[in-house]
Amino acid sequence: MSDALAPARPRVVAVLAAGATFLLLTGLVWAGALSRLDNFAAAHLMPGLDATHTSTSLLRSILPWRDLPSGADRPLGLAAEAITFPAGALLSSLALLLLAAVVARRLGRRAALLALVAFALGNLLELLLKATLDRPAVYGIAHERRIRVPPFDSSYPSGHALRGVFLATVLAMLWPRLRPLLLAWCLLLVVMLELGGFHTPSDIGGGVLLSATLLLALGALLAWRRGVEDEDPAHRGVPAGTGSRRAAAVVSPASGPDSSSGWSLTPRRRSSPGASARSGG
Amino acid sequence: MTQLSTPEFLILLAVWTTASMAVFRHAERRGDRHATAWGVGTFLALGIALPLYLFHVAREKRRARERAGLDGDSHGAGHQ
Repeated sequence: MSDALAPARPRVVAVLAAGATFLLLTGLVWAGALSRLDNFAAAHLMPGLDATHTSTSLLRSILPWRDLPSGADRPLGLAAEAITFPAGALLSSLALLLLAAVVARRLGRRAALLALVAFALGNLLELLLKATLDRPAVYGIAHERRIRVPPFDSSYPSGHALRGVFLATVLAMLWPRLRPLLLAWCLLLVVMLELGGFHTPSDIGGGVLLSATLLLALGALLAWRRGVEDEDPAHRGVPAGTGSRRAAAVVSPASGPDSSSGWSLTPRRRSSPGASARSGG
Repeated sequence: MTQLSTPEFLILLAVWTTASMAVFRHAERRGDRHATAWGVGTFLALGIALPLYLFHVAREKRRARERAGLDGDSHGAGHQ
């Protein structure tokens, strides 16, 4: 059993490290230790922030284009909405459902189901934290006056950052050629969530860390399954790409030319020379 | 300090993003295990990360050449 766990051990350490960092950040936000940073960002780094806006309606979250700023800030508002829109709850959930079908075909149904569960768990944790965690007040600037921004009281962690990073990682695993574009999108997403006045830096950090924790846990779980199947004589000799053996082609740590960013769908080479690489497609 | 207009800022952001994409792609093609870190680093601190990356690439190339030279010498010695 310990042998089966061996390949997953560095991943478990990574999951624990990411989870611990997320918990630490959550504690710091709750205690108000990051208030200065958030206040500075709200006052100086959010040209798209409408501090007089006290609530976010459901209609606005579904159709963000309705409420764009006018004048000089309009291009920035447009760019912010265009970049953050795919990471919205509705669109990203639909996209992940579609991607789950591709994951199921390439890696097996278990991997697809685990990815969906991880995504749902992330969204659930986001809602739970937003409902329970109240941070000290954050102040922005409107009409040259310091004004409290009530939506930031319970905006930790950022759901857009969480879903954006999750979606981009799954896409990058499935289509490695898109990685540079997906990296650019993730970077721009983080910047635009800040500049557009959607989230404070601690919210964005929380969303990214929560997403990283879930993705690392997903990778560790799949690697552990692979280890168990490698140990199990019933699975030996089954070609890759068929049945449960498809789970062998899980996200694996960087080891080949197409896995330099830390994730790969390429199946690991086995002692059996007949193992096909169909599932790496 | 000069205040950037919104279009100027967006252009600068596009340049920044393109640079980080280029570095990431280059690092990934070289088989660098830290391609994502180089890409993100370039985006966050272009002025620091880009020269560091170029230095890193030059050093790796020099090492590879040295290794190739050593291998060539040992093969030559083996033939004699």
